[in-house]
Amino acid sequence: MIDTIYFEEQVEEHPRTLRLFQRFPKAIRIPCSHYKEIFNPSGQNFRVQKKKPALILAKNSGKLVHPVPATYGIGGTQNFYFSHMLNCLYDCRYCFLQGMYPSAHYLLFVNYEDFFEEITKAASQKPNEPCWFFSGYDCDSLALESLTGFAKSALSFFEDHPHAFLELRTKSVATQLLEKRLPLANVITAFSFTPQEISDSIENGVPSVSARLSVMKKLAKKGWSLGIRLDPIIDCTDFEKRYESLITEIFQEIPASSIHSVSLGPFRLPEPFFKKMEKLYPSEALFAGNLEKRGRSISYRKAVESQRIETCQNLLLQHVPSNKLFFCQPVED
Amino acid sequence: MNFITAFHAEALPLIEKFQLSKRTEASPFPVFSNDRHNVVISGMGRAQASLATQYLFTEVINTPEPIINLGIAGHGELAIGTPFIANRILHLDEKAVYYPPPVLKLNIANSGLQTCDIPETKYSHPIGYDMEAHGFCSAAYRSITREFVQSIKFVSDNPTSPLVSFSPNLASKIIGTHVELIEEIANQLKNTFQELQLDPKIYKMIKELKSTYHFTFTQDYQLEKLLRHAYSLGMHPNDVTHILNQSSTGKIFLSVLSQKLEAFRTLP
Ligand code: SF4
Repeated sequence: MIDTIYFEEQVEEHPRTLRLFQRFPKAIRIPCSHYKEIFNPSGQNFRVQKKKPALILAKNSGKLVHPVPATYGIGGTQNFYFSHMLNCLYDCRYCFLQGMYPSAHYLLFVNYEDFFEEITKAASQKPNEPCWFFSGYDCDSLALESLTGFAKSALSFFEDHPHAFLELRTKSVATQLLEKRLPLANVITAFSFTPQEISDSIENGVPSVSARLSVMKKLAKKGWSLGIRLDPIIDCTDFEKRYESLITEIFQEIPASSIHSVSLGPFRLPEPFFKKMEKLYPSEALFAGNLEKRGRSISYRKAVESQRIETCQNLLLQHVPSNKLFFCQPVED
Repeated sequence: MNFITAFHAEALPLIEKFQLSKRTEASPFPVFSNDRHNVVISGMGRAQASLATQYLFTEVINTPEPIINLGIAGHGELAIGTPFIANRILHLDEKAVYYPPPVLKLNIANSGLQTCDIPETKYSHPIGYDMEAHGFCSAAYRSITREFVQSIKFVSDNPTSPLVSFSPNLASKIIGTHVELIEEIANQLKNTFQELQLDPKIYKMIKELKSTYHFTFTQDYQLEKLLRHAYSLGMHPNDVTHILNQSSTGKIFLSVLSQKLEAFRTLP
């Protein structure tokens, strides 16, 4: 799975580095002074690298926990995100990571403990208010768990910090870790969906909707709280029919009592990201859709977007109360 | 494929294999070409390699294309004759260290490579030692994305058989043994590069349209975008031709095509 491992010299002896060296004994190991030498230079082709990403092991010495824009969130008053990893196993054509990062290599920061220390500090600023931490911002929270073991460490940490809340966001079915342990009241696992036909065409490598629902069902049975994320909403032929069937299927499988929150978000990308992605995939139909520039983002034309969001909202409200339904809006709107 | 070598002896196996002819026009570097390959012989050293690479991109091909730096190198560990891909290229006086992205699927050695200003005879580390790769990368990275800039070296000397002097015969012999490998590398890079390009049919159509109508600078941009969209959205080329035949000006063509495309813009 991993043929090349770049590692910062400063983490060469880190136990997580050593474990990964052991796990991929045949991988070519290449030392570097700083991960930015490999990850950051411009003039790299994300699409080509995505065919066989290398793994970069590094220490993140910068700010590790960042505030989430006010227009995001699932009910908490304080919302933060952190990224122990940049880039993802899957290859969704709408994914902003392709527009944001020059490289498609998996960049893993092995200093998990430093993340937990900053999370503790952030959560203790207002100890009486629920403080949410989102982990799936720059990667899928679980897809590469067998390689990173991050979620395992995070669960142990959050178990000891019940006033801090964690959202694991995923499209994967790698949930064995959660299935094996008792649920934590302060951790939700949120699964993202688009209708299967859309997933087939623009979410490469993502497990099927039914496979995801089947693991969600198991987690619900175990008592874990779950999230549903319809973000981004993708305009398509038979939109209403497809989203209706997706939403019906989800709520047929998952008991409403297990649903912590549902969120909806329109397709939007900062214009420079969009331009870069369009250049990477000049023949991609998604980028030739009913799009327009609004503020600093590229989104569906306002009328299309509003109508699609409203359709999903109405469909969802048949299954969940409005206090569980959240909207993620681009900051400019 | 485009190659930069330091010496004629390193280029010789390619010249013979691909039946390249020496270009006759005045040039600061010897250039050997046919309709598919170019070899520029830079001379020794990183400054020369950098200039020759720049020359290739600006004067020989004029367009971004994959490029390979090929040549012999010393190595602290590998046996004489072993080919290797450079995966980390450094020069002790330079801050920039280059990491050619691992895009080639080959079962050959990978190694760090230090570019030196004088031939290395100590072989202090288990890496390669050459005199060009760093200069080559620094110039090539200005013209094409890093995946398509690769440095392939062949071990000519090592601690048990140190360098005495450059032997053209040995260089040609070592590289000549691996021409099939070089061809394979060239094909892999070329195929990956081609996958990224727009369908040539679109370029052909753009060319045809431009010879039929006059387009302003902005219309030029629109034309390319609309034709790209027509292709992405699955509009049949005959429909585009039909619109073209019905349009008396370029402006009308763009406007009608844009209207017709509206029906296709929703993802199937
Ligand atoms: S699963 Fe999420 S992070 Fe991964 S490619 Fe898809 S959108 Fe991006």
